[in-house]
This record gives sequence, C-alpha cells and structure tokens, in this order.
Amino acid sequence: MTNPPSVDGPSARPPADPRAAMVELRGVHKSYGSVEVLKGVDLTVARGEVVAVIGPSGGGKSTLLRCVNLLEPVSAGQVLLEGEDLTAAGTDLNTVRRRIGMVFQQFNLFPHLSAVDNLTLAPRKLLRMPKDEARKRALALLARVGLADKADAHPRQLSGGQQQRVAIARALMMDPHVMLFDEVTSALDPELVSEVLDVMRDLARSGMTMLCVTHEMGFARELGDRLVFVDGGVIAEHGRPADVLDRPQNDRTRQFLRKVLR
Amino acid sequence: MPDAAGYHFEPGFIAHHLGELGSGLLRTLAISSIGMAGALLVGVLLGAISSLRIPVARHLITVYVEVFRNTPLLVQIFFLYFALPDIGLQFEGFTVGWLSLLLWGGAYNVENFRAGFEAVEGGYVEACRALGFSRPAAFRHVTLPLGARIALPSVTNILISVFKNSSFMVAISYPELTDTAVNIVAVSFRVFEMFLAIGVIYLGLVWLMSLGAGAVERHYAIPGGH
Ligand SMILES: Nc1ncnc2c1ncn2[C@@H]1O[C@H](COP(=O)(O)OP(=O)(O)OP(=O)(O)O)[C@@H](O)[C@H]1O
Ligand SMILES: [Mg+2]
Repeated sequence: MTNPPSVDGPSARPPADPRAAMVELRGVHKSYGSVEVLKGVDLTVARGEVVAVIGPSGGGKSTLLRCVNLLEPVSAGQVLLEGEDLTAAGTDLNTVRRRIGMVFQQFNLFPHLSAVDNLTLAPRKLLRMPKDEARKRALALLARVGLADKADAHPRQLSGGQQQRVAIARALMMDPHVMLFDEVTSALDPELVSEVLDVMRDLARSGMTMLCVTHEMGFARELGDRLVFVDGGVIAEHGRPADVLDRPQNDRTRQFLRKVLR
Repeated sequence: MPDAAGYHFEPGFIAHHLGELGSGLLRTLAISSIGMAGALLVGVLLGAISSLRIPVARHLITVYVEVFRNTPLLVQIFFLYFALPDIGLQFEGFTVGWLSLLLWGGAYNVENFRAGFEAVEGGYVEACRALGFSRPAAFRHVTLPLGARIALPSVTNILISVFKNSSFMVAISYPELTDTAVNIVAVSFRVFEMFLAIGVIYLGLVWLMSLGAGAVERHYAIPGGH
C-alpha cells in the first residue's frame, strides 16, 4: 500500500507510515441472524492515514466501522489494532476502546452533562485523572474546536454543529490512536457542515489516523489518502480518492457516484 | 353551631386529642418513610436488573411485580399479618406496616424504573461504551441518570400513594393516624371533627410532598429541554 502524494498543495500533514498498520481487518464477516451484512472485508489503515468510506445506504459502512472497535462482535475474521488481535479470546475490549475514538451521526452527547463534563467523564472515571487536570485539558480541547465559551452549556443548548464538535473533542480526550467517524455531518443543517469539517481537517493534518464514513465527496477527495467504496457487504473498489471518484472501475461505483454527484 | 342535622361542630375536641393524633402521625410517618425509601431502592435495583435482561433474576422479578400489582393492597396486608404466622412467620404491626408498603410501592416502581431505563436512547450507551466504559459502568453513568429522570414523575406519584396507603393499616389495628382517629371516634362519636382533622393533615402532607417532588424534578431537569 502506498501513500499518494498530496494533490491539494501545501498540506502540512506528515506522511503516513506505510509500514505500520494501525487498523487491520482480515476477512471480516458479520451476520445478524441469517442476514449477512459484511461478507469478507479486508482493509488496512496505516498509521496517520485518512481513509474515506463511501457507499449506498445499507451497504454495511456503519457495520464495518462498528466492527473496528467491536461494538459489534464479528461473526468471522480478525480485527487488529496496532498489531494486536482484538478478536483473540481474553482481549479486554474496554481497555482497547480507549485507543479508538468514535464520533456518531447523532452526536450522542450525554444530555444531562455540560460540554466540559461530557469531555471529562471518561478520563476521570477510566483513567482516574484528577478533576482539575481533566477540566484544564477539556477546556483546551474545547478551545481547539472553537467552543471555549460553551464549556458549561448543555448539549441541548447547542446547535448540531457545536454538538458534533464537542463530540469530537470528547473522543479526543482519551488520546485515541485512531478516530472513527460515521457520517458525522449527515444530521447537520448544510450551513453547519463546514465548521465540523474544519475540525476534521485540522485533525487530519495533525497526523491522526482516521476512518471516515462520509457523504461529503469533496472532503473525501481533499483529505482522504484513500477512498473505499463499500457495497453489498464488501469493499467493491478502493484507491486514491481522485482515481475512484473521477475514473471508477466498478459498475456499482459508477452508478453510485452518478447518483450522489448529480 | 347546630347544622341541618342538628350536629354540633366542636373544634376544641380536636385540640383535646392532638397528643394522640400526634403519636398516630409519627407512626404513619415512620412506616411511610421506610416504605417509600424501600420502594425507591427496590424499584431502582430490580428495575435495573430487569432492564439489563439478566436471565433467571429477571423472571423472578416479573413474578414479584405481577403478584403485587394484580392483588389488592388490603389482601397483601392481611396475608403478611394473618396468613404468614401459619407458616411460622410472625410480624408485628409496625413491620407489616412498612413491609407491605415497601413491597406494594416497590412493585410499581420496578416497572417505572424499568420503563425509564429502557426508554434511554441506545446511542448514549453506545457512545459511553465506545469511550471504554464497561456495560455496568455505562449503566451507572448514562442509563441510570437519564432513565431515572424519565421515571421520576411516575415514581413520585407512587411514593405519594405509598404515604396515603399507610392508612390501610387500620385493617390490622396498627395505631397510625387513621387507626388512631377511628379509635377516638369509636368512644366519642365525634366523626366529623376527627375525619376532618386527619383529612387536613393528609392533605397538607401530600401537598408538601408534591411541592418537594416538583422541586426535585426542576433540579434534575435537563437544560435545553427534552
Ligand atoms: N442490529 C441490526 N440487526 C439487523 N440488521 C442490521 C442491524 N444493523 C444493521 N443491519 C442491517 O445491515 C445492513 C447494513 O447496515 P449499515 O448500517 O452498516 O449500512 P450503512 O452502509 O451504514 O447504511 P447508511 O448509509 O444508511 O447508514 C442493513 O441492511 C441493515 O438493515
Ligand atoms: Mg450507516
């Protein structure tokens, strides 16, 4: 796997290290009862790489993402994080998940906690971080996503874009080695999409490893090192974003892109 | 002050019996507060087990809830007081008082809390698990605080009913407030004064509890609304 040179000019992003796999899926299958949703997925995400996942609704994108941190147990196959087999018996998934940040379409901020408390909950309870230190770090992260003044607001007092930025900051509090994004801008009013994409761009340029399910083709093209097209429970096509988007090889990819790029 | 029926209302009569009414009220408050606290605890604990679908335990809880919600409280009280001694379990009035209220209110609160916990959107728990919290920890930090808020109005209703239902203990002659009044009436025939007096006492206390419940609900209201 090679890391394509940036096509967007002076991106400050450090190059991905092609030797170090951050996440590796090997022959992952996932069934719900008799319905097979993932039918053998192989995917490697290198350290520092940004992989965009696109595909039609119901194709298995969310399921694929949820298999990475094993929110869904896989039916067959292996999931590796930094070389460690998470599907091996006896793996403490609760500890493993601290290294994998996840951001959801519906934000899923804890509505009874203020923004800053949403951020400090996990480090305080799971890492026993002292309250003052956790708050200091939380305020710094909120400032990084442009919400320094919203620390004490509750989620339902914030706009969708603000909530999603808090949710990204919440995931970052645990210093994850990889971030999973599941259509994080799909529930937002169009004018709020860019403020969230700005945060993700900043994150990508800082060298974060990211696996992003997205409908934002512009984002995938700009920041994706690689683009993966998922359909019918398999990776039907993958490659450099510009190649896949401009010269799709697969019929289903072509059909899908015709619809979304219309 | 004669009325149409020729009845003389004597407020002084109430004052004369304040001491007895006072100790009756204390017993009412004692069995109700133990019953209310217990019903709350039983509701949260068993409601949690029930919503987490813990195998066997969950079915035992269903049996408990069904039995106590589908039989009259009065029958439950009689059963504890008169029937259990037949199998060697003898309880005094005080014990039957708080225990029957606890079991009755607990059964309703199990359902209230279970429904509250199950109404919490799965996405919140999922976000909590994704951060690295175990299933029980996610319950503690997300499902419990959010589900309890959903359950709160129906739970406080049941707790107030627990208090009011303490008057059922008249059936086993446990001298709480109502039983005390009934006994005074039996020797004095001052029916109107007595029941007016205890009616006002019950009304005032329920009103206070409702105020308290409202304050608790406002305190825990989620900023920005539901
Ligand atoms: N818990 C579940 N039980 C049964 N079937 C499920 C479950 N979760 C997902 N599925 C099915 O798996 C398939 C893939 O779902 P998934 O959510 O991964 O698709 P997706 O690509 O993310 O779609 P979308 O773009 O609509 O989010 C769908 O057909 C869905 O109905
Ligand atoms: Mg999805």
